[in-house]
Amino acid sequence: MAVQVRGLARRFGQVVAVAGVDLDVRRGAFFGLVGPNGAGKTTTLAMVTGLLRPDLGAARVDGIDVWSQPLLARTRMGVLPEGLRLFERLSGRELLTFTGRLRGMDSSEVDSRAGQLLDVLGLADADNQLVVDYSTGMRKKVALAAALLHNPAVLFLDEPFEAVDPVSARTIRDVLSAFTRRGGTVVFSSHVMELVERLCDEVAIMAAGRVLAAGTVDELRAGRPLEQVFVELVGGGATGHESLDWLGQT
Amino acid sequence: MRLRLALLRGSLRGGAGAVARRVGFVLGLVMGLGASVAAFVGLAVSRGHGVLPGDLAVVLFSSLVAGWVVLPILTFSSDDLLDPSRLALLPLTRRQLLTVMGVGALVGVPPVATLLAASGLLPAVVTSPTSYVVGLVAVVLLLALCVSASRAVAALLSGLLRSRRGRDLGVALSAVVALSFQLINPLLRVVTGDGSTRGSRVGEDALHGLAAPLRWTPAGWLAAAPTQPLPTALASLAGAAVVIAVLLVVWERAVRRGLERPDRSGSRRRRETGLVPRGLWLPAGRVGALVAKDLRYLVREPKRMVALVTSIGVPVLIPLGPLLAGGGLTRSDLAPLVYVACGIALFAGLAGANRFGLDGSATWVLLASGTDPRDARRDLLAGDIAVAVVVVPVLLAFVVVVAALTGGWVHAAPALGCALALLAISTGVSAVVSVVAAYPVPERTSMFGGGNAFSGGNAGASLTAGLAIFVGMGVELALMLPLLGLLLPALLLPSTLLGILLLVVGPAYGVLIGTIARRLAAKRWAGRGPEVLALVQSAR
Repeated sequence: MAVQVRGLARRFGQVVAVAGVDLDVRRGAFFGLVGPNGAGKTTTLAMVTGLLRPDLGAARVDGIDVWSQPLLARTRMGVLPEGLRLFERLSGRELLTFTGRLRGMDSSEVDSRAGQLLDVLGLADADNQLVVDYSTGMRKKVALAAALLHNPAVLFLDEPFEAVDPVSARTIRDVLSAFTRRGGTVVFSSHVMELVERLCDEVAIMAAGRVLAAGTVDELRAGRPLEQVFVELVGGGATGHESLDWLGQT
Repeated sequence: MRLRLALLRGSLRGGAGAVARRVGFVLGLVMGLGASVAAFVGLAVSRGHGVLPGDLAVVLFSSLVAGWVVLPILTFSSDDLLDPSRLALLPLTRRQLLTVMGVGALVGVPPVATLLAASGLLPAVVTSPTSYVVGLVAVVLLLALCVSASRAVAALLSGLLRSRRGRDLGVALSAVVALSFQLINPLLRVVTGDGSTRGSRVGEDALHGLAAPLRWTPAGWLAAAPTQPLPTALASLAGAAVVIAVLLVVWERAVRRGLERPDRSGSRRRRETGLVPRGLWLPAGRVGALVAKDLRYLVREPKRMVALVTSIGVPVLIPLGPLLAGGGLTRSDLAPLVYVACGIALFAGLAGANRFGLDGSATWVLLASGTDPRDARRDLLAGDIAVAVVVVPVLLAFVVVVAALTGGWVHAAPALGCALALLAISTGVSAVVSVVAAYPVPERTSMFGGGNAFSGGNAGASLTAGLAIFVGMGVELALMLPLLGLLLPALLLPSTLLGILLLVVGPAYGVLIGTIARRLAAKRWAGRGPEVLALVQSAR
């Protein structure tokens, strides 16, 4: 298993953000963590990647316990968090050089990998621009490059397609697919169901801090669109038409 | 036009930072009115001192206009009435819009303060009813000149000011303004010569020299008008009125352009720079990368530049006053001023006391890339090296320059030794503070305007941090005590031998203490990294 999560839980004050989550992600999977806003996806990913200490539970990445062997676990994963900044007053190329050196990588290796990543992600023309001046799409792409630089076994991406233009989203998808084809594992979160349905082979559906269902995409949807499965599981949906009966009338 | 009042009321009422904003507003009110009353009185009592009142009026009027021109650059991001593109969506005709922006500029503390200060012209120079009327018109025209000049400049620069570069410029400029207050004091002392007759003569001459060219600016025309014969006076007023009209036209044009193509802050292509600044050797690996990042940030991130400039700049300027003004002291009396270097070192070291707060949520990058047991120590060491790279040359230059000016070379070596020791200790102690009492720093800090330094962040957390820094300073001074055994004899019986001894022992001792402190800090950073990250993430 590339990722194994058991009983992960975390509360902030009175609010229970994650209430005991189990996940299993096999090696080489393109794994989607879906759920509405506030479902606990970001908190779960932060705990799995070692950025937020869980109250309870454990997480293993590439067989290594994240919270008892954090240094070793970090060598196996690449992270693209949501809502956390990069060192944005560096240019795109400087940021990659910086990231590589932080991980103690050989500088000629860093330079050649950074150049290739910038090329493939379409950032070669903006490599000397400060990241703070990048668009959202460019920012996500350079963050992805930074997460891939040390060739991790598992890549964790929190909302990588949020507010990203279609062209950049396409590029990101292509890079991720290539990564999984060569044996890498991708775990990403999203609240966009179509995206998950199209990209992933495995999903877990989260709501209110719990995993409601998990498995391969085909198992879960059983012939229906994934969105319908999701709405059935999460609740809510097609109600309340009558109360808006004035809408659209002239 | 009520918009301005509404905005003012809104900014004083709502939100989390309301108390801080109200305090800031009252402070601004008191300071603005206080300064203008002082200017009024200063100008009024100068009456009858030959050319002095005329010169004072010219300088005051010109500096008022200059102040109005600079102000929008500082407050642009927080003042919604300065930027036409922010009002573009309101259902207003262009004429209404211009009225809103123009009248908006006339409401608030600055215009009242300006009128009050400028009215000092009347008691200072008025000789007849005619000149009284001329003076009154001149004061009103001055306010019009201030407002039109400031709006025209703001509208012309709005493209630049709206961009990130412009906002950075505003923050950097506010540091310069803050620093210039430090310069005003010694300069004033030179100008007024501390009351001695020779000094005041020099001061008046300097003022006269300053006023001479300013007399030819529109502000100068207005200031001089009441003392001129009537035809010349009318010409001066008319001239100023024409300038105001031109400025208004420029402003109108710029606003129209701003409305027609709002917000296009383009990105320029930058020169390739590389992570490590040219001409600097840094070790490969994590430490080198972090030092390079910190040095880049010192130049590229205004809040860091401001912090460094104010923490180093203020103590550097301290000796300037006594050195320039003298005040009956001989050069050798001033030789101990070289020990101000110790103060520079102390404050510069404290700049790293919230290093993770300055990195903000980007701290996760350090956390996620720490893969070696020694990485935690490297993270803290790098921050301290970056400070040293900047501050050690400053200390050297300071000690050499002050020693050369005062001739007190015998104090140079012990002062430098002590300063380096303090720098090493203080960086190490602030490494401890930075992991124990980290707190979030707001992303957009400006010393002026709405996003002031007090708002945002967590007041409780920064209070704890302030306390931690205070305790840290106490600890640092306590850790310096062993060096007193060498320093006291060096102060009482200056000798080259003692000086050199201090120059060697001081830094060695400092580095030892600093290293021990950093080890303690690294242990905590390695164990509680996620908790530090949680502290510095500003509440979302």
